[in-house]
Amino acid sequence: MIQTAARAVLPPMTSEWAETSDAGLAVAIGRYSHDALAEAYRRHAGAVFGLARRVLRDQGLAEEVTQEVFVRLWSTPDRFDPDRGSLRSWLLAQAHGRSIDRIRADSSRREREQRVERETATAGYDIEREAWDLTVAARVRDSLAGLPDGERRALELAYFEGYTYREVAELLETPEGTVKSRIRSALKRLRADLTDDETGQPWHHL
Amino acid sequence: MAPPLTHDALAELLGAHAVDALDPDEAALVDAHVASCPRCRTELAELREAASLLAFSGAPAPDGAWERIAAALDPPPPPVPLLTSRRRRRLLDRSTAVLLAAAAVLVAVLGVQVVRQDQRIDGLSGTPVAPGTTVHLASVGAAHTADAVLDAGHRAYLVATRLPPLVDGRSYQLWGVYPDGTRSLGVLGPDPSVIPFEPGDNLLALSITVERATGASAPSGAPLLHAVVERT
Repeated sequence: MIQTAARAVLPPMTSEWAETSDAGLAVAIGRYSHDALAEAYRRHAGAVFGLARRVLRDQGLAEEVTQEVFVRLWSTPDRFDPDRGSLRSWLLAQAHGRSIDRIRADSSRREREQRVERETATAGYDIEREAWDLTVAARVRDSLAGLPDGERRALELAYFEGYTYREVAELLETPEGTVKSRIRSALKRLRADLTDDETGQPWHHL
Repeated sequence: MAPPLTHDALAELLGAHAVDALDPDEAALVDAHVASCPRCRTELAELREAASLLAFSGAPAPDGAWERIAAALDPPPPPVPLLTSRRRRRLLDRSTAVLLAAAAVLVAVLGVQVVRQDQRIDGLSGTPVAPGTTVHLASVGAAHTADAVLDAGHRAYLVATRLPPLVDGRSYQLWGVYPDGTRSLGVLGPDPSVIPFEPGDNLLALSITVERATGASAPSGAPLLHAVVERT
């Protein structure tokens, strides 16, 4: 415990790690570099936490998820395969999956709805939605707004509200097959819209 | 049982899978398919990348979370002496005795019975595993199962669909049994889904044990799941 206690404060950023690519960080984390994990946390924890809170509507649960995601990166770094996507998208996919698992656990869905109702009742608007609007890049917001209505609603209900596509189909009174295709097509459009044609890199990497 | 889904039907589920909107059964089917279909694997990665663009961009991390993370990190394990001599794996003209010894290793090290041992011995003489072979791992009573898909190349994928959740600090670990011993093929984490691994040559059997989160240098107990690799 002495070893970890000494490391409890996020170590200062060093130029060595600040200039290392995410894939390089992942390799260093595999070799038990605390500093590399700290750098990955510095880069991505905000997004991981933000997504978990948006999905779960609960600060404490979102912190738990954030903690799990980074501890998991530490204990099983080989689960992240740089050939199959960026570290950021892997961390966010982990955060999303874990948040969804919590929502789908018995009765959690109802608790989440109650949290949303309480928030909206006290603040008069959807706080998380507002926060998301403020922090997500305008380009992403525009791209989402530019999707056909049916696609956007299906994607939002699934991704942010954590419904399965079957539940989305029920909520939107749309056939399940249509919802499946719409989610896939929405993601493809976003990707086409937000990815640089030449490099294939998402715009935020540019 | 429902008929198996076609490639297109599975591909149609990729978008919903990328946003975790499938039922667990469907998610397992898609994971198994993706493990053996490079095109769908690429598409799923791209769709997940697209979904991740929707996350907050500039929100700060919560105060204090790093301290709890740092406190929860396992210390690095001591250096692990795995199979040291790779040369010994090229056993030409392996005799039945060697194979019986391998089977004995299985029983002694892993504490399992080699099922249908007689059938295995003749079939093991260096025949390569057919590409695309799926090995079904099962626990006693088959309450827990996982599939390993062995690709044509040196890659293989473990598709763990029915493993019980583990308590904190524990992890599943995959082991390969070879003529000259047992080798770790990867620490799988407490909740494995699809995991690539490299089985190398002469894989005789696969086992999954429960170990501490950082993994162990040798199986510490009887395997939860086990399968003998079928030869064609």
